[in-house]
Amino acid sequence: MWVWFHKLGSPPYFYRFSTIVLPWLAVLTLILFSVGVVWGLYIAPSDYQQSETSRIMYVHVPASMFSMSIYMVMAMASAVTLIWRIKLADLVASASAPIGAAYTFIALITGSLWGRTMWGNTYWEWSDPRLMSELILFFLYLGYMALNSAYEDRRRAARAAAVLALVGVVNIPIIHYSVEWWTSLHQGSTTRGTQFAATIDPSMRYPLFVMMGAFAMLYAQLLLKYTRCLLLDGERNNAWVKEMVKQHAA
Amino acid sequence: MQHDLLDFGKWTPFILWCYAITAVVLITLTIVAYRKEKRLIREIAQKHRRDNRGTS
Amino acid sequence: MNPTRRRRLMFVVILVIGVGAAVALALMAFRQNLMYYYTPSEVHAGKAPTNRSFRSGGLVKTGSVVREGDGVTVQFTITDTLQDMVVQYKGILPDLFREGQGIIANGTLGTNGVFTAKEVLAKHDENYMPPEVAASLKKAGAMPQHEMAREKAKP
Repeated sequence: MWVWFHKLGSPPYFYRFSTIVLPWLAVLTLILFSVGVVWGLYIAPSDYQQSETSRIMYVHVPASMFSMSIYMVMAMASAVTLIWRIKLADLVASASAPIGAAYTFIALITGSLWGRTMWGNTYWEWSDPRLMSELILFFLYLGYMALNSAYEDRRRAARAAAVLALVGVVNIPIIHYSVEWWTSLHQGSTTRGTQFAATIDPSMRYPLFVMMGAFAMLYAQLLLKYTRCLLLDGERNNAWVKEMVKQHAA
Repeated sequence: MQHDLLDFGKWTPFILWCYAITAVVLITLTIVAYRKEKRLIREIAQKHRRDNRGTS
Repeated sequence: MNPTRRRRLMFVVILVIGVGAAVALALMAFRQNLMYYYTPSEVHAGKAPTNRSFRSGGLVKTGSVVREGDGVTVQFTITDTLQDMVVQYKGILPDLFREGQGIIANGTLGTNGVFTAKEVLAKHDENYMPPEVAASLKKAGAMPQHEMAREKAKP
């Protein structure tokens, strides 16, 4: 496992590995999204209280969930960057940021529309802890991207952005526990381990799982793709890139 | 179980907006990634061809 | 691990712990009055302010909703299962507003103990099920409690 990880840390190996994996991920993502959307919009029943609006759940829940997971990936890759100075770790963190920001954006927008229909006459509640902490997450992603591009020197930019990513980690438990620590309009988490079976009916649980899988696979696919872009850009004068491009042209 | 599979009217505009915005964001992100890599490879290939001509 | 890496590792660990502790302390200090939220029990105990607005919430008591003659003013009782509070509201109620449903209201407390709400928002709980399942659960008396009621049931 460790040996494989080390090998994956070498740019040429990573490039070859991702070339093999990417088409499979793309196909898997497409299948999961097609199944998930049809299941969520057509086949799944409506909720006993929220009726049809509960269908927003199938995009809102996975997007919010992975907006936090992606941040954790970014923070861990940033820690590796700071400690071991592995170039690929920095690229993984940098590639995660726009994807995480997009997922957070989707979570905020769909949450706002859902709240507008269910909670009442409001799109946004400034005093709500769950909403605010998720908004801060969005700004953390934007701040990370801004800081990353603020320095001419790639290594200094990477270090500054990594520190920001690590400082922001404190926001993740706040988002997660905000609905328990404070009184929030947002409902408690449905996806809490063993309670999950009790709080969501199987007819809605399975399409939700499919959509979670779809969002996860899309993240994996985009992560590889964006990392490859950063890699090509940074190493364009290296021998292996020249070799690879020559093969590609042939 | 009583739900009409062909009843499109059951989706409120808000549901459709949610799915539409999600689709637009995710598809854009994907297209940008794929096009970016293609462009980079083309750029690098062009540069190497120019370099090779310079040395020969 | 060589000394440089160990030093950097320590930096990362101290950074995360330090920021975490600072934020935790700040949150603890704010926790009480961050939301200006008082449960009906706290209102009953006289802990809620009378001179400024705050938020309160609970379950709408079954059979307590009364609509006034003008058609827009509504009066109902909310409960946290220990204490009740009467709420008066003028305006459009959310779709999800119904008896037994959790709500959060924003407003002021009058001297007569009636809470005048400027805003009423519905709080859905984390249970999702199709109507047929809900109907059969209700028949069997096994309907899960709304989370606002469960919170109070905790010791």
